[in-house]
Amino acid sequence: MRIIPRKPASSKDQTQPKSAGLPEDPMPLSLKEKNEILAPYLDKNEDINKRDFMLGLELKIPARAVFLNQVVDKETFQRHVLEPLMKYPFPVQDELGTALISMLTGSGPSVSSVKTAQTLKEIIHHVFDGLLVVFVDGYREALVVDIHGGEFRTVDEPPGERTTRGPREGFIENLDINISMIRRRLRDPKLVVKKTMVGRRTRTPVAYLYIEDIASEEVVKDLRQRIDAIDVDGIMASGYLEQFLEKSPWSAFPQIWSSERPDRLASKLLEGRVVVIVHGTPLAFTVPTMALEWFQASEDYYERTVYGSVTRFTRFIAFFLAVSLPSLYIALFSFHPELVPFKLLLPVAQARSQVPFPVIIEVLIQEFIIQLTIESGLRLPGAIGQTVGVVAGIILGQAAIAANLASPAVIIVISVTTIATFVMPSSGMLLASRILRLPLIFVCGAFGIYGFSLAWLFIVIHVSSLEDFKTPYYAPFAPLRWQDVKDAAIRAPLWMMNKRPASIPVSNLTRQVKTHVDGQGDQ
Amino acid sequence: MLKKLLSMTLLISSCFILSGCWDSKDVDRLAFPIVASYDMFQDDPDSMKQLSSGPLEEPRVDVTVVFPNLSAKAANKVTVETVPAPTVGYAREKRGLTAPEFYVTGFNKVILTGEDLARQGLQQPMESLYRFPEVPLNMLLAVVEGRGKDILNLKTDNTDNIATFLYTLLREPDKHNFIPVVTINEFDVNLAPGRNPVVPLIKTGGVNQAFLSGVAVFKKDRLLAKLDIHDTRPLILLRGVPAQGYFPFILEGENLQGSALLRNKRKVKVERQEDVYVFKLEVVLEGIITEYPSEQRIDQKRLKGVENFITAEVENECRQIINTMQKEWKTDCIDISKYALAKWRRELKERVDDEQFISQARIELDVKVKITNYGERR
Amino acid sequence: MSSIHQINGRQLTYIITGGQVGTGLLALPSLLSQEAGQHAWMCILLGALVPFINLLVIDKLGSRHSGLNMVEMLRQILGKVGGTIAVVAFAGYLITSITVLVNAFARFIQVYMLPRTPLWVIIFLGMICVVYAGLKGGRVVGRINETLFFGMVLSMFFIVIPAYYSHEFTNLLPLGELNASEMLRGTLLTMYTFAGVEILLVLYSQVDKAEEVKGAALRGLGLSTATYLIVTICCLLVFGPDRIVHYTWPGVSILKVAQVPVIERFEFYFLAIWVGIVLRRAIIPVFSSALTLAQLFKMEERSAPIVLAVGIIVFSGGLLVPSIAVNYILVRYFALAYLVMGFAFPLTLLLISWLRQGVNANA
Repeated sequence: MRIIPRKPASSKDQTQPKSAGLPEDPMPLSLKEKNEILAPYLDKNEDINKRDFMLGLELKIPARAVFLNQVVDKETFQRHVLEPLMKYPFPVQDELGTALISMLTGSGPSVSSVKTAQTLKEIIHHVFDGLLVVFVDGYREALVVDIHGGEFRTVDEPPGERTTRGPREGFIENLDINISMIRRRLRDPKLVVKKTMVGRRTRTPVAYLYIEDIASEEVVKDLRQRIDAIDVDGIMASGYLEQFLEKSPWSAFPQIWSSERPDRLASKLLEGRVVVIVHGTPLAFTVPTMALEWFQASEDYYERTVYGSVTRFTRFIAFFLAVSLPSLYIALFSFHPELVPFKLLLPVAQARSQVPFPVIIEVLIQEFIIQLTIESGLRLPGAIGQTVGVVAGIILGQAAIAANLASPAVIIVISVTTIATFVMPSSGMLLASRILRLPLIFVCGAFGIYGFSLAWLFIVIHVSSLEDFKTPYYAPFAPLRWQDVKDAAIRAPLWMMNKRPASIPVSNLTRQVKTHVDGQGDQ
Repeated sequence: MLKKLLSMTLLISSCFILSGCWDSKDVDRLAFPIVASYDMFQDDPDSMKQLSSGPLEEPRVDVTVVFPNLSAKAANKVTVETVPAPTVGYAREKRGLTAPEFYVTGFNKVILTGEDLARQGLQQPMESLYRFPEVPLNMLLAVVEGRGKDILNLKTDNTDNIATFLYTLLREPDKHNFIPVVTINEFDVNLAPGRNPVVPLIKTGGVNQAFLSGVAVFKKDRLLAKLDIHDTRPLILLRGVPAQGYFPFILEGENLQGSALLRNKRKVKVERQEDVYVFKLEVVLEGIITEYPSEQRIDQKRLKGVENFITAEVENECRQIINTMQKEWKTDCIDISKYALAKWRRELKERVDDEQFISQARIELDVKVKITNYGERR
Repeated sequence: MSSIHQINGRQLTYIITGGQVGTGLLALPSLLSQEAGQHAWMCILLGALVPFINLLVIDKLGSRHSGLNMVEMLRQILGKVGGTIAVVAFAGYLITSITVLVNAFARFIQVYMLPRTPLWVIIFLGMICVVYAGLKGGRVVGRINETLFFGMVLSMFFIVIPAYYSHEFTNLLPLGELNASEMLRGTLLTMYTFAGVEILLVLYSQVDKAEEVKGAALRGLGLSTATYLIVTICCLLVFGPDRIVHYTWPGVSILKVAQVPVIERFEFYFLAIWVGIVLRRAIIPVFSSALTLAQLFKMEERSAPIVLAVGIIVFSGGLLVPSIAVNYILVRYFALAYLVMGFAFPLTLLLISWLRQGVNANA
């Protein structure tokens, strides 16, 4: 059992992600030599476009533009890079000296992002990162133009987190567009966006966002260190990064909260959290995380207080049911039948007497069938997925009862459990409830209510012990922070939440001054 | 990491090792009695006496229980089974010989005792109920005029089974009659010094009929007297058991007979005048007129007439009960000694149950009737 | 100050409450009524004076030796050898007292929930949770206590409901008939249930703000006293002083009195919560004794082996008590043991500290 907090895997080495061993030599002067040096990296790839052209209207200096097919926007390339460069009215060559490149940076391509690069390593990376690189004969420096384009999915409603009253905008796979979606919601100049790369080979851009005067410096620093310490071939999605960052990998509970909705992330930023967006995933995650966040839906805040509070409370009950209903069924019907109202017990007992399996096996069979249904439904396209659900839910259930493989009660229990599972607004806790259910079934199958109590006590101890980024996972329930409970068990009126959550380390606790006109809430 | 894996494996494997499921008893493998009756042993021809042998096994009680039949194909809804045994608790051993399912007594909601057994004392037969953790203390108790076994063998076609019938009969008779609801806890609590239980009486009559026939007065755990339904009312009023019931009244002048629905309250004050304990009982009845068949309107005077009639009637009934109690039973069955104990507990604790304590006490009675409403017609 | 064992003032309140309220509570009304009849609840109020003074003494002691943990403090007062012996004795006392509790708990579970399951299995399962919590350190123990405290409050509602439906006020009367010897015997009996406050000796140095300790600890004592009063008075109201003595655990039996629709059996819901409450009563001393020993061996940050060892000792000790009757005899001895190790021991320490350094000197 580890008690001492683990240090980041390799805190000594805090350099940028390691590159795949490219030479850092400066480029040669002549274009021909440049082409020769670059050939081993570029020539074997047929998706790389090389466009030779003459720079300047009169001088005609040989130059070459290199870029990735379909990643660079061709239209922009032709109109705003190639054309201005070809028609560039150079002064006399003698006056040019070494200033050509810097002059071009200023007044060459009419696009928003132009910079220069010198070493081979930089240039190769720029090409594969999807930038346009222009080499000019006689100059070491190369011109690097950012004209990302190509095909992207359009911004549309996030499929995993639909809402009726909130914005219908969800993240897409492009990092910059995702950042812009947050920026548009949060126009604070104090919102800081930092970018880094993770993955030696994938070189996936990762951005982390925080509000300078709200987020705790320590958290930002800690996150930065942990991201920098990741030395891996590649990350495919934000899920990779989450797993590298979380502290207790063996826990059943999700420890990093993620969302595909910019509005929710903006509100997290305002609470003092740090948002991390990984290029290529329509999701962003935040740290520090508390268990509570999986129970908070954006709807809670968009709807009125009373409705928000009731649905919030419903979700807690749903989680409890999702984890423990099957095990409670076992505990009641194979250990403590006295607890069941008699009029309910008799029909169940009569139905059960037809079923050849013990209660626990009956539950396990049905649970397994439901898990199969969920898994198959998830991957299948919408209409077929629904059909599978209906077949499993209605036909299979009926058939199981008719064939005396299950009693009607167990079908109800498992169905309610499954529905309760999917009440959770985001998927992390949903998966946790699916995992926790199984050990509970076994413990209750062996020890009844006693096992049930012990299992929950164990869960409470475990949840209380989780802590990351100086934030207790089970806060604000333990350690108890009364001022946070008003956005935990219930959702207090927004004008009452004058402070940011105290459980998260922040540098500025005040969210708002008392602004409500009546300020009493009862009117 | 290795340590963590190790501890996880240890934990999981220990769970498997521990999974002996010692107490697992699936609900369809249970035999759960839903009503039981204790009677004195009677050597019936159909008695399963052959289950007993040896000197310690001399049967003394007949334990009759009713199980629901779980099988859908069973011809009868319930099985009624009588097992003779030396003690009630030991009867479970015999039960295992006839029906070897798990025996769960937790569902039993009603317990009946035969009159003859009640006269011998109920503490002994009921002891195992109190000791057994799964038995709820809110189990309803009733004494049967005759043998409880006969009630359980009644054919009930109009309700689910006899247990449901008895349960509804005994669950809230205090809502419409002056008959108390007595749980086994209530019975036990009334065994304390200065207190004595009363228990509802059930009787068979007619064809397959059972009905509440009054209450049984106990001296501690032994049945002392049976009161019919007419005498039950004043006893309950005097005991101060909150109940509600109908009172008939006759107004001579108006030449009418009507009825009122009244609920009762009781206040007791106790004083000591030298050696005599004086109990001042105030019985308050409050309620509405339910029936007043007259063309005349009910006015203040007529209301007073009704109140006076009921007052006189109740007072008369109550005095008779007090009289019988002090002269015949010499036992405090109207639950007033506890007020004396509340003042002089240490001094009285030993002698409060003596016969002379209650028979020498002076009991003053004051009955008040208040009619507050007369329904939709006036 | 070690950070993983650090607790705050509110957590201390709940720990002090949780360190006292255990299985004893459910048996207490019956045991007390045997000695003091309807005055049982007065004994509780009187009994609360002892831990009250006890807490004040420990707080005084702690503030005189601020910044030192228990081992360092004892060594400063009693010298190196004396201090070490005292620490071991104190930890031993905590561990043995918890074995009795664990045994009572397991027997209790056996009676109400799992009659055929072997005792060792019940204890083993319980100890898994206890040790797991102990391994996580003081900070987590503090947090669990916050959660479980509300479980205890909830369970108190369960007890009040039957008392509301079937009470008899004369059961509590008359008030003034208690004689001195009964009162003394009753008060002595309550000591077992009040034992548990002495862990403040261990925890004093772990609280983040020393000035909060006194208030927090006394609040904790107040909460547990209130709990005892509620249970005892409710049980007396329902059963009366004469019949209550026939019950082993009137605190549970009272729940079987009420008839509530749908919730057929109150006591199971109560017990489901109560499992956590009683185990918390075990978690706290197990953790405290392990922490003390860890401080002795200077391995506070790596206390895992010690917690495990304590857990194993408690587990095997819990198996040794042969029956509930023996358990009740042991309970009476532990009431005395508390007076010696819990009450007199810190008092003596304070006196020695005063003698050595003067009353006003801050050591």
